[in-house]
Amino acid sequence: MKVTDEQIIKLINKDETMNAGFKMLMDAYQQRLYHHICSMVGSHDDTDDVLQNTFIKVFKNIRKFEGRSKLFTWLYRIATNEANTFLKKNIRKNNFLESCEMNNLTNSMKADESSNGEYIKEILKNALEELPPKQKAIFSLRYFEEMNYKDMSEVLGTSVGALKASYHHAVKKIENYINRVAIYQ
Amino acid sequence: MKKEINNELKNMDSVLSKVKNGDIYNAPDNYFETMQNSIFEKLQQEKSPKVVSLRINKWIMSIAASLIIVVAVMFFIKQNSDTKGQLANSDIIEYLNVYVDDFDETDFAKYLNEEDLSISNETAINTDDIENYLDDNIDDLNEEDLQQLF
Repeated sequence: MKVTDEQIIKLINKDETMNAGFKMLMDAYQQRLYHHICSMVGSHDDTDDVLQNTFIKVFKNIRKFEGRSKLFTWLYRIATNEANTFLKKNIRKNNFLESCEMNNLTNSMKADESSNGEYIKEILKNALEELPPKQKAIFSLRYFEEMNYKDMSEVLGTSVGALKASYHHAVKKIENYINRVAIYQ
Repeated sequence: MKKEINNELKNMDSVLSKVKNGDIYNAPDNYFETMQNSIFEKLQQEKSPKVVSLRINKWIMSIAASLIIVVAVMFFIKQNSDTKGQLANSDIIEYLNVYVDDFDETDFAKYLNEEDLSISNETAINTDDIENYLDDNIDDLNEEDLQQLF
């Protein structure tokens, strides 16, 4: 049975069930946040740092969470801010770090080299790295997390109009990258 | 992919509309378990009583250190001002000893008060002393001075 956000918050708000509630919160959101952060910072080690900082911040502030926004938008906001802070502090030092592991794409590529969809996915990650941090966040939230613009606006503190324009711009940049790479194949 | 998002990409005439948008990043095996343990350890370290007592000790140590500094500063100031006075007096005496010829009696008289100038009975000059002084210094006295005395 899926636990709701309200149930998780209730558990966290009681001292005796706080840790259990927090574990449920991590179980529910760790995978999505890992993916979102990884699409922003690019390497597993950096994602690990940012994700841990995110959850520690969440733990310390969850009792101040007043429910005016949705829990998941609040979590994404903290994760995005943490990733942005990390990127500002560590401008391009992560070339030497192990990149986030692609999800079975390499294997599927070997199985089906002609698959245009899988091929695009393979280079999508590299294309993402060419985007500036804010566009990365916008693209990740819209394309991978399938978030609506209203929720994205809550997460990023940007107007819906500006988000639409920025997403459009990010999609075009990624397409240009894909086309550029395709020419050399 | 959600229809809404796919339609948006189609409207942009984007090739991404033809791609399945599943997760492209995958965490290593057992990563999340390790991560959760690490987070709970960090939180526990921050919450542990040792840290709290260290905080209290820090406060006590800060207050104690402040008090010691205040007392030390006050002692130093007092000591310094006393020393300053002593040094000043000795400096003055030494200076006067060296440059005593540059001063006349009136310069010294300025710094004497009535008490310094009063002559007590024990130190009062008797007539014999005066006569002896006059005998010794008779050549230095002129007639006018002698007339003033008598």
